[in-house]
Amino acid sequence: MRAVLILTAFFFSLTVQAQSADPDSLQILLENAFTDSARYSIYTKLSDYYGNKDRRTAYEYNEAALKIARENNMNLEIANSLGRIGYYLNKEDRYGEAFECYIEGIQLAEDPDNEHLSWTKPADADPFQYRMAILAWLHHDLGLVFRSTNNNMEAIQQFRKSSRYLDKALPTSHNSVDMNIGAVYLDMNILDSALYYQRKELVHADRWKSAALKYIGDIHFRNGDSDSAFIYYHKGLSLATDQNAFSLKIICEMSLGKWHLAAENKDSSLIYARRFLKGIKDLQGNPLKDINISNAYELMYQAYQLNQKPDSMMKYLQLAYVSRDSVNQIKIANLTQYQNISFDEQLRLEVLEKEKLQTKNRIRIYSLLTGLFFILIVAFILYRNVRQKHKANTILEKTLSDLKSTQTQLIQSEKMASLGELTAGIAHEIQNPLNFVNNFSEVSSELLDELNDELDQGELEEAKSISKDIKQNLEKINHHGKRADAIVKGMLQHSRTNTGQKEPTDINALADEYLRLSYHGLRAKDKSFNADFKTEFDASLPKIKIIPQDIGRVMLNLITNAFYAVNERVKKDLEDLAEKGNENLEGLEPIKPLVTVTTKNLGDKIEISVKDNGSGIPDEIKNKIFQPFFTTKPTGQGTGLGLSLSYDIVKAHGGAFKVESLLGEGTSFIITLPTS
Amino acid sequence: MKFLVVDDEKDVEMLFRQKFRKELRSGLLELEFALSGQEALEMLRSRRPPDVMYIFSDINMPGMTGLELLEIVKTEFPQIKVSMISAYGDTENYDRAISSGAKEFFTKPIDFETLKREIQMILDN
Repeated sequence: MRAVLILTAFFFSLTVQAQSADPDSLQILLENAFTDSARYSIYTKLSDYYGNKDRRTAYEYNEAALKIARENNMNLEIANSLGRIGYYLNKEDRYGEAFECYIEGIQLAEDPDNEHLSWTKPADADPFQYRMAILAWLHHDLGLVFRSTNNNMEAIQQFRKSSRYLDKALPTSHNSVDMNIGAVYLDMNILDSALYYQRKELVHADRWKSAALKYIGDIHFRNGDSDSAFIYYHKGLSLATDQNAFSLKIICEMSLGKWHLAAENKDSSLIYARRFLKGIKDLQGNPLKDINISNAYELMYQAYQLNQKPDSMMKYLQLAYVSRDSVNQIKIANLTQYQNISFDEQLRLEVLEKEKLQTKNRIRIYSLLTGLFFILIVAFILYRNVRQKHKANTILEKTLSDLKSTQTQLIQSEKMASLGELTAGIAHEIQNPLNFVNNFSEVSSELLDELNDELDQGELEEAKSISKDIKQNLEKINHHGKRADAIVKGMLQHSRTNTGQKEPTDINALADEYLRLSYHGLRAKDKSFNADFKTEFDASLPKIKIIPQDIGRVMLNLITNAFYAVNERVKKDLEDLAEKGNENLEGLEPIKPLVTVTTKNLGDKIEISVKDNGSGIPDEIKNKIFQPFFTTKPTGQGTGLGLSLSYDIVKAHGGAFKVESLLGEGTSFIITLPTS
Repeated sequence: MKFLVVDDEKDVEMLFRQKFRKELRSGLLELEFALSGQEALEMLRSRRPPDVMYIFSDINMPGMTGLELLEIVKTEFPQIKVSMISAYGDTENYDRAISSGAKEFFTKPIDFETLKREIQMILDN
């Protein structure tokens, strides 16, 4: 038998303290009451008075109180009365109606604004704590409805809610949540939790202590510890007797009856069964839900069975059946109604859930839209970045092509610069042969006159000698004409932008030509310039296939650099000497500037070296001299491209470029070129 | 009378010999040639006292320049007259030559008529 025991007494009313108030005097008060608030209070007190004595009457007084509260929109009082009505409905197994009352009450009590819609003034009780107390009580009683309808988990949930609200309620507020939670766990056969909650109930109040003791007895009984069970049952019984808690006393007697039955104590089982039956019959307005007369008859039947009294046994068995049937029929009808209502509630919850879902979806859509918006912004920013990068790229490409064209221009201007260096030398070089051409042709003309004179005089020997001279002169004219021609051609070649064709070239002649061009060029530009030069040409040098104007440019560059270096050295030496003053100048002369151009036949390659006795190249710039635009010359005097271009030209010819330098001793640039 | 012509162009000798053909033949004039200042100095120093009376020198030559030669000659052999012949007839060269004691400054291309007049003048004296 499932012994569900629900022992919630009333929520002890805040408005009604005097439970023992006499109904007659209350009736008189009611007749004289002028205010709705007073009448509400009196109706509530009257319902408290009838309570379990006359559930019907109590119920009607509560209905009256609720009506007044509704007329005045006193929402907290409405919630209060709804809770009271629910209590009675639950007692009568009208679960559906009770459920509705609690749900409405909870909805009202949950709204903090309703703290103002109450007759209970802050002077009487703190409005918040009052509201919390109502909520605690409503959840507790709703838990009982769940309990009655076997929804154990929901019941525990409601009890826990109640417990939480109770903590915020008035310190004097108390209900039997712990005991009820313990009872649910006992039903679910979770004995540890059941014992924990019953012990908790024992600690903080004595109002439900006897019930808790009885439950602890049940737990021990279920654990097989019948001795402890016996002790707790008796503790519960004596406490209930002391407290005049009749319903609790009856329950303890029922438990003891069952205990003795299990222990097969014939007399004792019958005694407690009888006491239980009597108690149930005596109890007005049975506050014991789910424990009714049928349980008592059943226990009586079992006790007589133990005592082997077949007649009595049969009698109580029949009574048990009949009473149980009637109780069960009512219960089943009520449960159906409850299920319908809770089904409606479920539908309502589903609608709520749907709304929640819709809200969620809406929020999701909004957040998606927001996300999309941000993604769009990010995409836009990225797009802009890409575009800007693209723009920057275009600018960079343009700059690059500008740089390239500038570089081409610079290379051209380097050519022009070296051409400029050449021009003076060329002018000088052309001037000389031209002079010879002019002078030799003049003198030839004179000689022809002389020749004619001699012929007239018949001096044939002399005439022959003169004609020989004239022939020599003509050869000279031809020679110098060709010389000038070669110089002009060389100049044209030098200034040509496109690369020329490789052709077999006499390196010695090329070196000599450019040495002279360079020398005279420098002399023409700088009057103070003077240097000695020397050539050490290897006569066995074969003609090699090169681009003459390119290698010529390299030669010119190296030789010009060498002359520049020696000239600088001389200037520096003179300055040093000037600094030293006049003391001991003898023997301290500047070096004799000398540039030596040497060629060597190395078999599969030839070597050209240009050596100077200048100051030498410091180590720290030795690896920089081939870099484009690197120059040691003052700004405007060198492009810094000479050596760089020379290096490229030599590389393009498959040759090698080497520099050997000693500080204070001089520098040698050595080019090797393959012969084939 | 012996004249010395200093020029790094070898053909100058032939040109001079033809231009002063008559004078040379008559024995009034003797010509010596040197291809560099160094060679000219060696020539002068080899005969003491030097038989050269007059030097015509180019300025732009590898090694010793005509102007350097002029200075040395003027200190070592002050009695020898020196005239410069240069393709670069700028004032800088001219001033330096004259201040160093050059008698005349001729520009290239050589005008042999003026040169002949100069020589004639020297010979007449």
